[in-house]
Amino acid sequence: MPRLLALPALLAAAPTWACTVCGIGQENTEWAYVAMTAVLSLLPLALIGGVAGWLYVRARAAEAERATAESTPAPAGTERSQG
Amino acid sequence: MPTTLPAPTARRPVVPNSVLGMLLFVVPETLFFVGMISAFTISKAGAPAGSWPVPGQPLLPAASTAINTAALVLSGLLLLGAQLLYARKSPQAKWLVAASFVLGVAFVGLQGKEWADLLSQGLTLRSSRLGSFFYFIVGTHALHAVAALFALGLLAVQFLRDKVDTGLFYATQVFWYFVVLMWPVIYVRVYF
Repeated sequence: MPRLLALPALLAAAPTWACTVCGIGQENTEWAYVAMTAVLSLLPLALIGGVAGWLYVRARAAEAERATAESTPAPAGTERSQG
Repeated sequence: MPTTLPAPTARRPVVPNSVLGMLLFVVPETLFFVGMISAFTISKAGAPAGSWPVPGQPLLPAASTAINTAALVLSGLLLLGAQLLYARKSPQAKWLVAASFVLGVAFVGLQGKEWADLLSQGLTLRSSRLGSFFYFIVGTHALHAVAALFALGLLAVQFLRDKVDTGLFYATQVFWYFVVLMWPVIYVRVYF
């Protein structure tokens, strides 16, 4: 019970920071942390997604090309090679 | 009843192995650079008022570095042009590859001169946070540029001898575009 009574004290507490440089209180620092956190979180996903997406598009294009080649009749007197 | 399986068909790789390998190299390297730029940005933002630019230390030569930047970007564009000409089997592609290599060498040479000037003015790896970050970030980029220039030089020789290894050409393009595209980000974040 005494612990519960202490809970409202949390509302009055000042924010604490995990490291010594986070809470200098300068707006620039806070902005830099937020912006860089966003960049470092999203960029890996964007890069991996970009490469994976590009490979997917290339694979689809290659598949379509192969399907077109297979559906086109070979000219008379010629024989299509396998692959 | 025995069944006859169809003959296996040869499968072409969707992307040349050299390109895929280079992409696997370039993606983590990009994150490596972004991590360094992130640390620099936070360090710069957290500097107490009046301590950045660092008193007593030379300012980074943003204006003269713009020339280096232009040379590097032009080099990348020339390599892109070489790719377009190569696809059309044009013999002119070799000159664009050679010019791209020369501009790349010019970029690294001008960067070296800039370093020598800054060192003589007192900006060293240990003189300030700016110096530490500057030499580490720009130096790492220069290492990548030199490595890519070796590949680009080899490619230029192959083009001039008319014996182009297509896999090397594509992989070198990926590497060089990485070097070219990373630089403006470094330039804007570090020099200003």
